[in-house]
Amino acid sequence: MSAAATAPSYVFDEDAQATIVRARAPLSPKAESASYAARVVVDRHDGREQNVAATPLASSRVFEAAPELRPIAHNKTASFTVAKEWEGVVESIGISHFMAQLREIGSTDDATEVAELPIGDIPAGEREKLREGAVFRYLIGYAQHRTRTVTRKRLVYFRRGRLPQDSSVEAEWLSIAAMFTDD
Amino acid sequence: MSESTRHFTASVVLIGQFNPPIFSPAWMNRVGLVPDEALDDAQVAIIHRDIAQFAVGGFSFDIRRGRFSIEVDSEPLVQALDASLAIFGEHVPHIPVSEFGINYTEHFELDEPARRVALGRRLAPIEPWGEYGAELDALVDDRTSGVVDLVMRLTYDPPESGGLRVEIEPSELIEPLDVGVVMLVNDHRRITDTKEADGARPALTLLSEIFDESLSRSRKIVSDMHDFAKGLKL
Repeated sequence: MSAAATAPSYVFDEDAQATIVRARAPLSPKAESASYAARVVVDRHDGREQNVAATPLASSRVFEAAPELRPIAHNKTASFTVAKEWEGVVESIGISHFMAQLREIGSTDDATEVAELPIGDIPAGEREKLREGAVFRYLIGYAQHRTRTVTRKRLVYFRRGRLPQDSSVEAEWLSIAAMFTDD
Repeated sequence: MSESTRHFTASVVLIGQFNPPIFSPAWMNRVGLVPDEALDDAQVAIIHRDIAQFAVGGFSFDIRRGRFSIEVDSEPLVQALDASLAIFGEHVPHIPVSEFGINYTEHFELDEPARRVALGRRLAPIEPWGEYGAELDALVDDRTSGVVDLVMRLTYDPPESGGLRVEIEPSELIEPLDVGVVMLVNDHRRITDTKEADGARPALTLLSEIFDESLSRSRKIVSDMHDFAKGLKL
């Protein structure tokens, strides 16, 4: 079977607001000419997906394989409800605690407060980000588990990402332009 | 402590011109957004020239040629903003982004089916519907009739700058199926005075400025509705 015969194509179906996969799947010789349509996702504004469903384009045709897309599963074990959230800047770091300036998210004023927070509240994978000047979020609330038990919870998360600088946008455009320059 | 079941997600949706196949779990790892160990649990639904859909490191990505969506379903929800900044602020800042949305979806549970019906009747009274409305009200027991989807929209000033769209409908996520409600809040913003050469910067600047406030307002809208439903006399 040629590569072209096995390559799927994807068509956006305006009526169904869905992307349709049309594929020639690797089939047994007797069914080699069969093709299939699989509805992949429904493009809702909230990004929610519908289940992947495959249907034969011609039901009378014999088919043994249809393109299958693994649905993305979410395995959350607990739901964390935030009672309060602050944005903080690390001021100093001790052995078991660190000092930080905190500003409450959603507060009507820009008042800041200084707090001493346990390093143990920082997830192990995030501790390397603890340094003076680091910006983080500090959340307190409660976690509700699948069993409906509720526990108090504190969470420290270090911010990442930054706004693009003027120079970075310009440099990126120049590097793209350079690709099209004849020399 | 007793608390009803709730599920929530937040997402940032950027409108622009994207090239879906360049994005993948490996790319997200390469730019430092997700750690190496997250790749083991990455789930890829599809990566193609027109669509890339995968989940990695707590993020769900849905990327089309005209739309880039990053969703998180756990706190802190500011991770959705940070991922946008990490990708478009640091690695592909030249991609023009003309519009964006900050979306918040929450499913919450009411204590009994009658309360959800009562909420539906307040949101969409049956009286204006005449005989059809009377039929709706007559159906009881395991046949519940009434509003299935309601959308409200607040238009910003000026109107071309965007709007706040709120949708409410029965939840299919919360069990039993007759007590759940889902609300979807879409805070849509359009950048009216941007140039292509500015890339994603104007959109990301506004996104950063309003993200927390927008989510706070969305949560308040949901919380107000939940409180209203809980206070209804049956």
